[in-house]
Amino acid sequence: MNKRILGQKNGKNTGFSILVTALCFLLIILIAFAIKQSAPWKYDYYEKPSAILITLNNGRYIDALDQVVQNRAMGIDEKTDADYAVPYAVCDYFEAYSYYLAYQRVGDEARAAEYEKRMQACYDKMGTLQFMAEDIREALNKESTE
Amino acid sequence: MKCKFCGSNLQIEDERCPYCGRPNPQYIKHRRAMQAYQEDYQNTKQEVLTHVSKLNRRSVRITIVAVLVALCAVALVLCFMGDEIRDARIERTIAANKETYAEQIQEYMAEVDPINLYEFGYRNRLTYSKAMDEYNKVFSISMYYQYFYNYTMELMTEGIHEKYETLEEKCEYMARYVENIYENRERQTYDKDYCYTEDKTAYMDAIVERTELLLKAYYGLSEEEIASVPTLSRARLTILLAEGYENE
Repeated sequence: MNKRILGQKNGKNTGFSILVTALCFLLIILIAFAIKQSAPWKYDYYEKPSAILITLNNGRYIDALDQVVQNRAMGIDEKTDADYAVPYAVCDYFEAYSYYLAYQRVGDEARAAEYEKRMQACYDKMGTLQFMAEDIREALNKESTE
Repeated sequence: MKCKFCGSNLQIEDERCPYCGRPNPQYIKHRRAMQAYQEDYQNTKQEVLTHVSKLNRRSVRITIVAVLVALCAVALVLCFMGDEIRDARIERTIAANKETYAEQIQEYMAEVDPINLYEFGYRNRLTYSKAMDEYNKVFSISMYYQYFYNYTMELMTEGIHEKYETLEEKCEYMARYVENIYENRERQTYDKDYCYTEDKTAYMDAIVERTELLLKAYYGLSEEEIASVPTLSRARLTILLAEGYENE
């Protein structure tokens, strides 16, 4: 067999190998993409205690409450990490106070008293952040401080 | 055949006559013919084998390439159908855990906790699930209440960020949410029975009551104005909210 024929034969083999390699590569990429597309993704993002504390320190109580609500929906609470107890208590206090104030303003003393109890329970858990209770009352009562 | 020297019987394969021992001239010709035949046979056989081998090799290659192309086509179809497959898998998981989810939702409904209820539904992908369709209206009204509550508290604690929005724009969003709360409470002819069972309507009534509480307490709306809210236009409600905020 002369070299030209040998070269032709090798050329055909090389071409076939390249084609098969390219197709295998494409198949692997497509399968990986199909698996990724069809995999049920989960909401697994949650806020750490430090992030919620920063939000609270910036006076963005409703944003902090949002963070707490999202965390709770993911099952992240004081049992997961004890550091969540204080920031969660501050946000719960904010929510309780917003309803306490609303019921007070409309004259529903009974319901206001219920929320006052909740506020007290949250206040007891606020630890070193108990000073934020005053800030929250001021923030929601702006017209009474002006 | 006969020996040409002694006349006795002879086979063509005999090199010599078995009787007189003289050489058989036909033997050499026969031997040459047989050799030529054998060579021809071997050559033909080799050609056929080579040709078949080439055919087999080509067929195998074509088959390999065809199978790979078919697999790529199937994978491509699966890529396009990825969303449907994912949704079907999520739906199956939700259906399998339906009782657990329903229990938690009932707890939130009993406590009248729309914010946590909606977030729970959203994070677990229940809000658009067919398996949890009976809670569709509950999720919807909870979502709008959450938006209304959040916007109200943001307005009360942070005011208006004038760089990004005006009071009217914010109030228009809130008017839309209040509208949607009332709309979801009202059952339409196309709504299914299981969306408006006793416990669910009681919950939705409680949400409407909370909404009215916020409208009274934080926007200063009177009882008459509250009573007219379901019939007001969005523009009118926007104005009421904006005026109420400024007055309060």
